[in-house]
Amino acid sequence: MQRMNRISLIAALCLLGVGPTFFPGFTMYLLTYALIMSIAALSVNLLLGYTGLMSFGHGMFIGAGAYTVALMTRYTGIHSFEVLIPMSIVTSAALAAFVGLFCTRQIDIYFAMLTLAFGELLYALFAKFYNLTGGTDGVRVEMPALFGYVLKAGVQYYYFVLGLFLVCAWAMWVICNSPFGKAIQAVRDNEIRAGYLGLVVMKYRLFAFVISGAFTGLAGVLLVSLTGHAVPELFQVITSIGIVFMVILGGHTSFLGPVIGAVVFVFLQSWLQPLFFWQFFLGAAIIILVMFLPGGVLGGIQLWARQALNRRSSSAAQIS
Amino acid sequence: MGATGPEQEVILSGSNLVKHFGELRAVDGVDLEIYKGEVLSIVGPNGAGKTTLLKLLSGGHQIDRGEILFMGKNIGPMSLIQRARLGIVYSFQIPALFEHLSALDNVRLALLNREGKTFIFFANVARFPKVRKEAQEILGVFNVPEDSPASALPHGQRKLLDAAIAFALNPKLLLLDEPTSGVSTEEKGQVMDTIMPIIRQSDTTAVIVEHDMEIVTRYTQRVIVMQQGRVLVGGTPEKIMADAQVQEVLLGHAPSG
Repeated sequence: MQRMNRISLIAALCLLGVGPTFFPGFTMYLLTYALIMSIAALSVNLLLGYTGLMSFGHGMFIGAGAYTVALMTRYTGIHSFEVLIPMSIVTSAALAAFVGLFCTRQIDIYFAMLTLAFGELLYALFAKFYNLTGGTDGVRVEMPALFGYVLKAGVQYYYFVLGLFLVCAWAMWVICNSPFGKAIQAVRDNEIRAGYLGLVVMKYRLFAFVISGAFTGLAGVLLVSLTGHAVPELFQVITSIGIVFMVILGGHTSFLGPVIGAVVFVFLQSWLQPLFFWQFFLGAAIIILVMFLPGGVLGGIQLWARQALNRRSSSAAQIS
Repeated sequence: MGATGPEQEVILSGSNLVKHFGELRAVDGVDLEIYKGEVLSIVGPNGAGKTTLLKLLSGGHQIDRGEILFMGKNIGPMSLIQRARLGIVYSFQIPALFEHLSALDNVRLALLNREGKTFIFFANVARFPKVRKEAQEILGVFNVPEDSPASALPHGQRKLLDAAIAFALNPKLLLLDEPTSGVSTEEKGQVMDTIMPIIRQSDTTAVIVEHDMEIVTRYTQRVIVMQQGRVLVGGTPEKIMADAQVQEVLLGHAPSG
């Protein structure tokens, strides 16, 4: 099973690496978009799967990242990734620390509702202050430069995003398996016992929220550079729910589930949207997942693979 | 044993401890002394306030009235976490485990926190060989397999894992809430035979809440009997067993014959 996991991981990486040689431009655009959303989905799952907190407000960090790019460019003229990325990580981490001070005192539905409320609040602020933020029209964003070199939209930007995606996924993997990562899982599993061990539960929730927000802010930078348009809707619950849906779709019980979820979501959305009511499929998919596949797509694949392996080994045992 | 002798050093003393839950006086003016190195058991019928008393000592509940001194310090106003740092550790009646983590990680977390290492973000937990080795040793003496997730362990081992986590915190005073509850009669002896030598060898003071008088007699030197939030009587297991009033409280009738 472990070997199979490793083989599929390497195969997936190779596919991502050679993608641009085989796939047309529009597919690459979608794949770039999916990788960006994967970073956000992994961050949301750091909270949902690992800390046990369901955020309906991560759109606010996408928005924070996007508007860091838009407003920095507009007011300071700084327009290069090497400044904008650290800046956006700092602003979204600071936002997460502030919002987290209120939200992480709560759990379950109260946490979810508070994060949602903060997202809507920021949406309203950015939509109303037209002079500062461009209001509901948003702000147009050109592709930022990287150390003076302007990345071309398409293949070059895809590889840039792929590189950052790999770095983020690796970093989050390390964090999830660090002493801190185990501590947040302990808080998720049994808050009371964690307290008896001497862990200050709220501090771990807050730090997890800040880390998660910071990575999502980075995704915001990449997203706005891809779409070229920062709009206040990014802060809104519709963005947040989309990310949560990717996580559930792919499976929140495994580390890479959210990535699968993001890719499936983005491509399905693109294929189905022109055909029919996209929301119909979205709703149907959620119902099917919750009822029959609580482990999501990846959880389902793993279950199926394990059963297939067992069947093979048991039939092999019968032959010998 | 002389465990109750006046020359014994008192590690914890509580005076006039009171805890209400609404109208209910769960603990109603308890005085007790715990001597260093002893194993004290608390017995009494359901609802006598045994668990509440343990939680008052550990900081799981705060006292409404009274005073608790632990090694000379007034710990009454202290939080659970502050008391855990002083070495007062509580082990749960219903095992409170990190269900999705391995048994090893359950114990390892207690050790990492004791060492102040839980805010390390960029190193795999496996990269702390000393912590790993100590966790493995603890699981070894408690006889719990390290790899399986806590949720997959049978009940007896879950009880032991709960005690192992408590023990990993290096307690000076270990409060065990019914270490054998829900365990089959044959397994009870196994659980106690695993836990008791560890307590004795590490020179830990322990308080055990227990229903089973046979276990109490076999493993502890001193007993206090609680009823309706108060301490009824205290003494050696033999003395307690011979007490007609105690028999009535514990068994609901006076001893026949």
